[in-house]
Amino acid sequence: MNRILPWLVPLLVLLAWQAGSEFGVIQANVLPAPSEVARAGWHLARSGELWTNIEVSAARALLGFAIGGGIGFMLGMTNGLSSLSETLTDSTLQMLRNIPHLALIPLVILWFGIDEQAKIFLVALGVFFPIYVNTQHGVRSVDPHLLEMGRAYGMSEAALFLRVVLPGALPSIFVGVRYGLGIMWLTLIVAETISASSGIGFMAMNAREFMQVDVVVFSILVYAALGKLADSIARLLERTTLAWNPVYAKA
Amino acid sequence: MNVNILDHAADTVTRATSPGADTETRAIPPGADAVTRASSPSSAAVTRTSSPDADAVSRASTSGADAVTRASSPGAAIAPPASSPGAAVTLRGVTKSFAEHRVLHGIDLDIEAGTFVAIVGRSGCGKSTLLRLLSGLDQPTDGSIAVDRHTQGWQDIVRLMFQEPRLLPWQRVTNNVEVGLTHARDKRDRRQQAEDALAQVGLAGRGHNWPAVLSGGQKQRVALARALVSHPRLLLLDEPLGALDALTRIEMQDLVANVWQDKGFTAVVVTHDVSEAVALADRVLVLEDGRVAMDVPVDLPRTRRRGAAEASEIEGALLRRLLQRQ
Repeated sequence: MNRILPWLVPLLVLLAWQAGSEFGVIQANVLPAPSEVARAGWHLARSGELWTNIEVSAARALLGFAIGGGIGFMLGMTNGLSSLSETLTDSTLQMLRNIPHLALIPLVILWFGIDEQAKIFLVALGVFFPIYVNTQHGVRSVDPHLLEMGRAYGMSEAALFLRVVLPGALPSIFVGVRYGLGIMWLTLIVAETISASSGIGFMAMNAREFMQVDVVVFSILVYAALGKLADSIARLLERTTLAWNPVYAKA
Repeated sequence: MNVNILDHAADTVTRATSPGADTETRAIPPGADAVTRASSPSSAAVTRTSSPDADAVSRASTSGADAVTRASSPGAAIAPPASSPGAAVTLRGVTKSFAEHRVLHGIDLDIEAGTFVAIVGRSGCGKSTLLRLLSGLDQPTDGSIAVDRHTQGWQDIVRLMFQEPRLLPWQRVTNNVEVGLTHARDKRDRRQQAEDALAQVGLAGRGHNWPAVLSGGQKQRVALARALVSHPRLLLLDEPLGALDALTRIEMQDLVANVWQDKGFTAVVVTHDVSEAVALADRVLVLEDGRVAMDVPVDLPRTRRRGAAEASEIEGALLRRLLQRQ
């Protein structure tokens, strides 16, 4: 029952939408019927256009996430562990964090043109901050009692990091990852919509030129599905690596 | 050092002054020892430091109620490794200051190998600080500490048990116990030792559990196993039972006492509970304003019965001293 319930509301919305289109309440050039959207999706999938575009978008998203997340993770760890490094860099990073990264789009286009680097840069920048902030917070909130215990039991610095600091910071890091994934898709949609020659965002913008509302709506749904997929993977990882934590253990 | 010796403790002076006599009694055959003990508790002062085997014998003949707690701690069944008698501890003029505040004032102290010493005192008297110095977590501002005549590098033979269990919540119980074996290389050997230690504290078969599912008392048992797994020669306990309920606490006291008798390490426990100190220790030190204010031998037979008259007498004397300056 609990598996079906979350899908009940989307299903009802879909039915109402279909019914609205059938009876002419919703104009087809405003919002095409779900069946029309499905048909558009089917055509895109058959022609292979959909898959190449998903591939291009996913590659950008993952590369940007890996770069931004990687740097954020390492800086978060360093600043969590060393107060010297924190004093040096943290206030600068906090200043940068408060600039909406999408506001940099004009500058980024000037720097990189509308090439791949521009989009990857924007995604990396967007993903960097949530992962940085949460990693640092995670390291800071590791129980000092456990660190003291590790020292008293003769753990080396490396063992202390791997057995105490990292697992202790992990719940917080996962919060950053899930938040970062959301920002990753958001940034990519915006970047691809403004300037691109491939990808889901480009597919949507291209369809707009030809008034293919069904393709536009379908592209939006693809984004929703990809976002949900990424979040589900993150949740699965969370549940397997944090099985020790009663909060994450299966209810 | 201001040392008060109580009247009734006079008959125990022999122990402190003539270690030779002490060693002699070890030679008494187990059976004979058990008999002496059962018949005349007053002579226990002489036979107290008997061999572990003898203890096992006398323990087997104790009352049924005692046997229940024992059943959960099969420690006595495991033979102690030949190389782990206790370490002797010597403190000379040990002083510890934090900024301007002086916590310990030149403490001189000798702890005989294999004895169980309790340190009691009011909050802030410096007892936990003293324990941290012994564990090597902190360095004394002045003075020297020697464990087995080593003034340095003795951290490996010392283990500290904290007030909280301090288990790593993301590691299963066995892995938590293996934390005590950071230097052991062979993985299978580590696992085996960890499981033996768990069996010793009565938690055999719980190794695969996460710490989160254990009760407070069980967690503290795991912490004890972690401290014991490397066969320390000096075990330090920092109010390890403070957070447990009264019954679990008594059970744990028995467990600690049994393991100590079985293994023969030196033990130093810091506690604010005078009756716990008297139940566990051979010698109770009262710490007051960073000085040893009282040094009381407790020569009562093992296993000790709670509420025995002699014990209450010592407890009363200690409490009078502790409450004197309020």
